[in-house]
Amino acid sequence: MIAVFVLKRIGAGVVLLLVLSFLVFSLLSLSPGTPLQALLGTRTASPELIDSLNVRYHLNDPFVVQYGRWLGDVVRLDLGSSISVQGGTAVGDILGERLALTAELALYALLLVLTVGLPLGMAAGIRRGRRLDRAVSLGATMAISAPAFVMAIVLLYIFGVALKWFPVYGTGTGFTERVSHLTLPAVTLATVLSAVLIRQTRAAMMNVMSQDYVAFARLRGLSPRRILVRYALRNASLPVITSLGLILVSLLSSTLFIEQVFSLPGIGTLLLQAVTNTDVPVVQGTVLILGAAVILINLAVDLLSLVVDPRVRLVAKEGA
Amino acid sequence: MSPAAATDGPLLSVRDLEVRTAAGRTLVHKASFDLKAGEVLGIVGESGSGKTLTARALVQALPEGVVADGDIDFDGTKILQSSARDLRPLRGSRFAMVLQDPFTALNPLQTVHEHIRESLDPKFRAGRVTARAEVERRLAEVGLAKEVADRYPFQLSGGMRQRVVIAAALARDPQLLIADEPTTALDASTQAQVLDLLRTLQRERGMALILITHDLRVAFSVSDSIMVMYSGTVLEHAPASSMSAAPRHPYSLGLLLAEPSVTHYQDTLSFIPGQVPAADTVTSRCAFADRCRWSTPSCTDKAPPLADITRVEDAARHTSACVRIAEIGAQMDDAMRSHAARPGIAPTPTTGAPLLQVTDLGKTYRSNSLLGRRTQTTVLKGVSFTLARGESLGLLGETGSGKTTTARCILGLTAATAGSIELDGVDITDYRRLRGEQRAQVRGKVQVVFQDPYASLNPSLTVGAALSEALSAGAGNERAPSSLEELLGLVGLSSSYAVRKPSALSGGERQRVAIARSLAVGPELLICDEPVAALDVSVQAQVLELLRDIRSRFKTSMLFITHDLSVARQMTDRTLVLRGGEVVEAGPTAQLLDAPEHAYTQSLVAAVSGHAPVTARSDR
Repeated sequence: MIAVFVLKRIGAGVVLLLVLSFLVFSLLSLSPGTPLQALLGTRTASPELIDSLNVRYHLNDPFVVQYGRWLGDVVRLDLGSSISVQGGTAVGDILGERLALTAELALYALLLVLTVGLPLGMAAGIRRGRRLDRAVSLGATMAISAPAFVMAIVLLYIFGVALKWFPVYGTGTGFTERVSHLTLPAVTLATVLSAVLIRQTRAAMMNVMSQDYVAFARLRGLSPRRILVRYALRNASLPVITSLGLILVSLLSSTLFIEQVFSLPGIGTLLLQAVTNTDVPVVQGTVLILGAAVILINLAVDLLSLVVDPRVRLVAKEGA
Repeated sequence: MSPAAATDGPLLSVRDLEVRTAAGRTLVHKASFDLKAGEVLGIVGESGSGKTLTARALVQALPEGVVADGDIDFDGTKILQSSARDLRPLRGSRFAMVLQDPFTALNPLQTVHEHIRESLDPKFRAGRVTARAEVERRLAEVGLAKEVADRYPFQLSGGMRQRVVIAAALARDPQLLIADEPTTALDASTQAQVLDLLRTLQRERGMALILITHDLRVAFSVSDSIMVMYSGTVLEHAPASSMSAAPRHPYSLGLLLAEPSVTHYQDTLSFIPGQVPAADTVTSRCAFADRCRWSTPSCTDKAPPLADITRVEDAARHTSACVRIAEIGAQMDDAMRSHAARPGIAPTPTTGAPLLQVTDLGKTYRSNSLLGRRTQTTVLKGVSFTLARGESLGLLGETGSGKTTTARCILGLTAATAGSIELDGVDITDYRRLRGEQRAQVRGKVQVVFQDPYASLNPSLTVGAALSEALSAGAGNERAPSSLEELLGLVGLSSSYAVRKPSALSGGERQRVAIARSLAVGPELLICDEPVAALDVSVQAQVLELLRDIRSRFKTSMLFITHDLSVARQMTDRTLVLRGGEVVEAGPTAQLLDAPEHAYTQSLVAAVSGHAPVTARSDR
């Protein structure tokens, strides 16, 4: 039964992705001018080029047929080729190149968020009202209210320009250099998001610690470790997992911007370039990839809460 | 065996226990008592009496911001002077505590097996097979099948959860169990079973038990001795038999008399006027003096000591904090006697034409999820009844019986999915189909008083504003009161209440305001949804008297929703017994309660007459 539930969720994800693909495809006809003009971009409209574009994009067919054919290509991982960003290169190849860097950055930031946000939030929640809690909460409030672009520039200035601890732009080669290049952007990304996670975790922890079942566990003389792990952490993880999904998604959207500030050639910069140059195939590819990522993240969160919470499991079993 | 049991000294000895807020406000004042091994002590009191704080102090489980002071000796351990680390080995193995609400006391992510296993002594906990066998044995002890072990708490009913909680609390065989309102959150028939279980376990194990309850009847059914607390002080401590026959403190007497009778109709419901003072304000005087009809200046001169008044008929030591008990004892005995010997005669209702006609009412909830199949839950099925003008009809049932859903359908708060409702000739099955003016007319005819006066009043409106608003809705109706003063007067409040906000009122006063609000439009039908279930015993009777008064004055028809047989007995002419959304029995209330025909009604009545509890408050 659980398998059915999981399949249904995946099915729902696919449906969502289809809807997204349709919207993405419609971009072509929504962009100013005719689709042909959009596809031509700044290139000279030689009859050969027009013919090849007509054939490639089936521009003479009805809209729905065009979409069907395009979708067929997409499923075969053929997203067409770039017009202006990297004229002529297959969009799939460009994405492959850029995706790795964005994924690394997101992963790095996520790691920071988890290792900083979770423990601090938990500690603050358990020691509510004490000095540690007050310090952590104050820090979180400050981090949450600092706009990311200001933070990025401040960090760049202090650690990149003034102290010269980390490089200011570029990606570096080799693992160590890559890490050092990605540190400042990852820290910028992680600051706001760990503040969000700290708040969520702290609230969840405080809520759990005040529950009757924790009091009853203490009254039975269970070991403090068992109470902390089996009672507090497990129960607090439920709302945290849910918020983790949101955090991951906002991590992706902030990447778009942070990459620009730190001149990192990732998906974000690519999307910006493509939009500015009206490179429709690249925009389509990028948006599809990002959309798929968001859907995957949500699916993962759903499955994770399935693992943790028996109540959700029961609902899943009964075929919600 | 413990040294205490061997020498027959007290297992637990409490002297001058003080509980205060961190800011120094007194919450419990000079509580002292002893408990022998194997003995059952009932601590009885209304909200604010300090009974729960006292119990929590005994096991160092006070909420944050509250501190205890004094001397608590548990079998040689000075509880208050011990550190949390020192006490931990004693928890579960020497003393344990069961909390009020079984719905929140268990870890939602853990199976029953894990709960009991983790509570067991390490020697049983270790091996898989031993642990499983031991858990099964423990479940059997509390009357649960071994299959329950693999369930999660959310898959169990309230009664089963409380059994699991008890099994977990007793897993290391403590000598003392403290049970804080263990049955308050349960339905009436389940309450009786859980109390039975506690009583049996206590006897079989020879375990000492402290039962904290607001319900004297519950305390009587289980305890050897009973300690009555009021506003943070102990007023009387007596053997249960003495307390039930001849209470020796005016407050204990008042509590006993305030319980509405379940066996016969009472012409007047007695209650204790006034309200509970803050514990901090009465530390140097008799806490009950302001509400006591025997009070004299000698009562408020200084704090009355808990004096030994043991008589020959007392089975054990009997103490009372009433300084005048020698003078007024005889009068109190008279009051007890006349209370017992005064079965009133229920007024024959002068009823007119039908006002409300409910036919084949049904309600089914459908859940439709985007993916997956539909689920259907039927909460009401084929409910039919007629309510005549001036009649009071009871809807009696436990949680999930559909009684509140019926009321919500009549009020148009939810739409029935089958059947019809007709009020005074107007079809009100679906409020959405009524024309605007028609709807306003219907709303003026039927009003409601909800269970919880703490939630049913808008906290940001003063009493006057809330009531004026309601009055303007009733303008033009000749049954409606014409002024705010008149309306407040109807519910026995002076006009000075108009400027107050709900937060400045006691529970009973709030409920009066809520009643006044529903009377403002001059309704012909008043639906009372458990109007006293959230109130203290001494206040319950006041509100019931008020409702009786309103009924006789305005000939208002009443639909009385309750789980409490005694409330049905006192307030209704006819009663419908609901179970699982269907009417199982209906008839004149007296006849129905005296000679129930349906097995379910019989079980409800039996649960009460067996000295078992009658109230089930959880049910909303």
